Amino acid sequence: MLSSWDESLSVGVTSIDADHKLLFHLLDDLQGALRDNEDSSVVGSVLNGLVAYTGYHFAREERIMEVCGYPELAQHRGLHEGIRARIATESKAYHANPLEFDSHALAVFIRDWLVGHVLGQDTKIKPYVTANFEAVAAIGGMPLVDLDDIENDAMNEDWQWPI
Amino acid sequence: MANIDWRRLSVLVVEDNRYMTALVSTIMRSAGVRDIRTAVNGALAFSLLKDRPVDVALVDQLMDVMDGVTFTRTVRTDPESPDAFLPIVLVSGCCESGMVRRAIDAGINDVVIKPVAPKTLLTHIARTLLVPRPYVKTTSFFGPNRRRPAATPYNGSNRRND
Repeated sequence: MLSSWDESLSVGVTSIDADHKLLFHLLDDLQGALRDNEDSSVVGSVLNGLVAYTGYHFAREERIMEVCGYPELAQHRGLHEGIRARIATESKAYHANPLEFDSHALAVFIRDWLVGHVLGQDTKIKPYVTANFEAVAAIGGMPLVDLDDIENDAMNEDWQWPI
Repeated sequence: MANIDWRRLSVLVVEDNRYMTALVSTIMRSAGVRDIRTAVNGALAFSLLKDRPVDVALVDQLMDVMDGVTFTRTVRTDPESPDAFLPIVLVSGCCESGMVRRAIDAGINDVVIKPVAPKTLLTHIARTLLVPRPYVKTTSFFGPNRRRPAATPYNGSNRRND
């Protein structure tokens, strides 16, 4: 089983490959932070990053699948939904009780899922996106995070000092 | 259309934990920020600032040599400070009210408590830049007004016009 990103995991779209590399980096950091016995403020932050960027990446990947008319989009969405729900549930359980939670098992699960999903499912879009400039352009200007949404919250949310 | 030109923003990450430095840098890059500088304590960050100012600093609290609160006070009041108005967001693992109060009194712009989430951190940075508080100078304080303004403007009835 692969433990990090390599060319065999390429789906043929630079930005999607970059997303996958980012998820592998975050996973490496999660396992590193657990190995180094970092406290929950660090492990929890890395876990939050992994949860958030998995969600952002799924949105981007589903968008390119939509544009290139990928026939297995509905099934792929279902797989994404399953993993999104599982990671969100695990993350919530971690934050509720970081000391009791088996974070190592979660990291192993995420790595197995990431390699299996990218290799077994995501690479299937390769024939549909190769030389499909419209599809690539559709996500080219799509930032990994929604900055309009973030700025809107910043302007409109009323918040206080955390004391 | 975003109001902040994130691709042109320069950010200084002051943090002594390598996983946090990597994560915060990743969060910045995901928003399009390309100019990211890092320092492992406040003293090194202050000398980096003197070389080249940045648009915003994200600062950990507990660090050897110089912590986040001391860094903030130094930026605000040291005669050698290159930018006393620098927006500074404290990213702290400690949410103890005394520490937050010290950070506010040192002239911090905002405080984010770890564990951080990407959206929360970016929202606090955006808020610091888009809804700036006026700076205040008294005999014992220089920094952004310590009273938090309401983000949404008052839209109830105006009694003086009744």
